[in-house]
Amino acid sequence: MQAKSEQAVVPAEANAPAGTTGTSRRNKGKRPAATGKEARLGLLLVLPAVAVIVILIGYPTISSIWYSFTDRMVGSPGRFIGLDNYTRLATDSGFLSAAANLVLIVGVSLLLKLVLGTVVAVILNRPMPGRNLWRLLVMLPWAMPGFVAFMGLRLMFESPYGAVNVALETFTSPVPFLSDPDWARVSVVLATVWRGFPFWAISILAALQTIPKELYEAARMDGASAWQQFVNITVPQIRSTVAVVAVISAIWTANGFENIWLMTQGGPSTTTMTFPVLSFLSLQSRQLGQAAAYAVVILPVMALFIMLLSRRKKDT
Amino acid sequence: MKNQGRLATVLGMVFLAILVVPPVYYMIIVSLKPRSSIYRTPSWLPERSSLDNYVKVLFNDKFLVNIGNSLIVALVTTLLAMILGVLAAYAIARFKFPGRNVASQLILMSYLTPMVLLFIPLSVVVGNLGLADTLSGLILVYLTFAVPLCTWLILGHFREFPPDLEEAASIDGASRMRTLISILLPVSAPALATAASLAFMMAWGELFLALTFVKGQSVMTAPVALQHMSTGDVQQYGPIMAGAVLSAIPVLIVYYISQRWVVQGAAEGAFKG
Repeated sequence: MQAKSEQAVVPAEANAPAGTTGTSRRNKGKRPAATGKEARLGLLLVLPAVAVIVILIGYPTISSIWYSFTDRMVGSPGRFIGLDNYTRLATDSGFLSAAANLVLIVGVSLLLKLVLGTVVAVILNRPMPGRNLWRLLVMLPWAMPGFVAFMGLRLMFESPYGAVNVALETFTSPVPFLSDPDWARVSVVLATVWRGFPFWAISILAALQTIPKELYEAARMDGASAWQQFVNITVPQIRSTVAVVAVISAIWTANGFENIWLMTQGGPSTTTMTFPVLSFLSLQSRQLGQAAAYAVVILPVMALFIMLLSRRKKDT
Repeated sequence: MKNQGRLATVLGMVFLAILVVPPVYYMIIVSLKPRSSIYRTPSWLPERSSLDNYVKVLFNDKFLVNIGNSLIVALVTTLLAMILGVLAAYAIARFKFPGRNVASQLILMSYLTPMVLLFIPLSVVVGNLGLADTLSGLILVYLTFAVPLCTWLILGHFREFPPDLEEAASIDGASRMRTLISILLPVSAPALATAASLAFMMAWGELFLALTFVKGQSVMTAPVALQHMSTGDVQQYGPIMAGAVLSAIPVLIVYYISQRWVVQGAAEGAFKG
């Protein structure tokens, strides 16, 4: 209560956290101090959105954490069982596989998206006929609905008659892209990269376009090769963009569901399992407590990503 | 030197084409093939193209209903999220009220909250509200990503736009809401278009929540219906791909119209904070 009344009188910039001060500083001296009427209207306007967030996001988040300490099932409220849902994870092959895949599938996908995104951005940054059309084309995998992309890609990886195997048939016998554990991981990574690289490419392209041309001209005068120009000028200039895109993409990829569900459903066995798929499967088997534990256990990783992101934002 | 540059350009274009085109081309080819030839004569070439798969999926499989459901869900979600988003962003950017900073932090945090954390309790909540297996239930659940997304993108834009014009109008006696509608919204059209397009695209193609919240054939959205068809006993690739191509079209139209802003907005939503 006290904090509330204080804020109503003290100008916002006095106690606003970093990040919001920019606006208030610009307003300084121009706006009248908050009046009761203004505060009421402001609260009224923000209320519906905050209500949605509190009821549909805040409450479920807390419930999920609570569920994860219970043996709740569909139709039975369950009872508190402490850390049982978590200790069970140590011997849970699905969990162990999902943890490994956080590195194997998510990590490798990110790395490939970085490489492919940079290459495509560099290509698109060159003068070329119909450049705008090419940019539209490159965005296609990202612009189409995810389920369309992954259903199509799954079909391509089918064995023995999928498009990829048909294309390879003169070189090799059919490759079990989706039914062999290692190949399944490869296929999922390739599909995830295909769907996700345009976001990287277009973000990196935007960063490339802010680099002053003079830097390259000066480097050329000094006799720098194209590769030297890339390493010494391009890379440092796009580094902060890449860092932010990497964190965003990591959050999206780690929470990705469609890519796995539509390609392999986490299989064969559990070799391409990820946390969202695990949680989804547990809900299907009506084990709400266990499903919640799978969702909660990845929170520290998400929190780390989000921390990295807000650190980055302050730097830039 | 010049020839070398031209060669690099051509190689670049070939690389982009090889990267993007084959999957798209293949999806379209499969959707046009007669059912029998997908398995027996697998190939990259179209032979005897026909629209049979489209007719089948739309009319025999009643996919038209599912497309309609997707359209309703995506449009209503977008509309609601935009209204809530504009109001909240306006309040946070232009009003002084207790809890303003908390509200702004809440929105960023909820923007980044993973959906998988929410869907289990939400399924209980939606069930208790009697909205299980209804489009309204799904729309309610979609607000969890659409409201933070729209609010965050619009807020970023409102903060950048200097309040001088609005202050001038308020000196002339215009009310705060009039100022929002007649001054701030028109100049924010690109940001509004970005937020609305992204919300529409996300709601249209969402699979995870839809699989949990709509299960009956008559309320399934397009992705759920196609996923349902693909787990049937007979894999009907032709009709499924026809359905997939059809469901991509509305999103691609929205994307094409708004692409000038959307790509930048998607990145900005992430960058601003």
